[in-house]
Amino acid sequence: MLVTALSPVIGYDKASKIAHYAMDHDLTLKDAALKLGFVTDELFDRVVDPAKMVKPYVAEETIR
Amino acid sequence: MVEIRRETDSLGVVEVPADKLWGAQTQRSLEHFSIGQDLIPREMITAYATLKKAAANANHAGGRLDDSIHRLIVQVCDEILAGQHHDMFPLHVWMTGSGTQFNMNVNEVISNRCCQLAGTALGSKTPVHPNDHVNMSQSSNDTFPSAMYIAAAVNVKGRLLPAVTALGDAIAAKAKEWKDVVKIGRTHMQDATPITLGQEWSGYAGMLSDNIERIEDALKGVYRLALGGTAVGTGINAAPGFAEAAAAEIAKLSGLPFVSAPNKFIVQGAHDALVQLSGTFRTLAVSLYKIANDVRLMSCGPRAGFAELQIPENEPGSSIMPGKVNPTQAEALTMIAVQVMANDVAVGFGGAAGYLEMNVYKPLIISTLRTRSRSSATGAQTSASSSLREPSPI
Repeated sequence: MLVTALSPVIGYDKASKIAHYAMDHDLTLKDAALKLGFVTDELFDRVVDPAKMVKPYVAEETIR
Repeated sequence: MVEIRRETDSLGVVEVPADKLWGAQTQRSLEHFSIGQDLIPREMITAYATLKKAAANANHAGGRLDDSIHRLIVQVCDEILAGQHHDMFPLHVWMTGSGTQFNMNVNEVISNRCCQLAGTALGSKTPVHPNDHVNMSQSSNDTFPSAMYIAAAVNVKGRLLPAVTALGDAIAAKAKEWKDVVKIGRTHMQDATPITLGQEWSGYAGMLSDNIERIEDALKGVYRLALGGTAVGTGINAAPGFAEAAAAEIAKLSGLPFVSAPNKFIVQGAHDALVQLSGTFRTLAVSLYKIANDVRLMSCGPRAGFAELQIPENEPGSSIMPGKVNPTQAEALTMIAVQVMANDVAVGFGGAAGYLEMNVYKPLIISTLRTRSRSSATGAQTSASSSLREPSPI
């Protein structure tokens, strides 16, 4: 459920699409995210960081 | 033919009755989990409205939620708190153990009502999105337990404790009135040394005030909220400071001393505070059972029994025996007490079922606690207002 960290950036619905797309096509979350064009390689790596996800943390928000 | 509207969630399109404010996830839960007659306790609706309003205020203060979206969410929460839209929460107790679809029911209703107020289409999730805005900084995993704790504390403070206090006061008044009525004491149900009726009843009053103290003590744990722990207690997708700010808002809105739990893993992996609260209800039930039982013993007769107390005539006691008066109030109260003791077992099992990061018996726990505190309160209330206030020594 690492994709959770992307919700504040791209919204729950797009984050959910990444999760489903990755499962349906047997891809990593990152590959699915890039394929769908929702984030850049660099943004994904910066936001989806397990070490950052173990405390109160809101990734750079664009959804307001 | 019911008119329908198309709603969507991450699994696709769902048809929802057009006149309902709920969305796809609520409808899915209705289709898969319309089990029995018991709905999620209605107290959870107002508890959740309080929580969503508090979260919106904290998110707005933290600069995450725009003015217009914040204003809409708060307006809808206020409508719910004023008693509107309660028929838009149709989900049953026997659903997911996390209560997720009830949280989504709340998110969907608030989002759609915001659409109505803003003049946009129902289901458009614009301007207020159920997940991104109404659920901002939250997960079902921290909101549902927080709403449970809010509902439990509000119910106990507003309903149960006043009822027990009233019963205790009525009994204490009798203890005073009967302080000089000397009667026989009994141990092992056999004759013992003298006692006054007032002394005996002072014990009952003291039992109830001890119970009030126990319940108040148990509430201290219930005031510690999970909100801000989000998915597994770490606070992912909640800003630093959100938990404390939201708990302070809930305290302000409810008038009760809620705080953010210092350790979210305690209150998401387990609900020991509610198990403890349930235990104090059980002790209260045990006390009420004993008191009611003593009343029916002392009133047995009136001609061929102890005949120490005369009980009020609530109704003709028999369909065949004219003039019979029965201790029906005591019977109702002791039946409630038995139910309370039995339900405490269910809460214990539910509390024990915290697998890893989350307890998954939440709807069971809150619906059982709620039934018990409501019936205990009502039982104590009717007892205070009738039989226990009325008996008089013969």
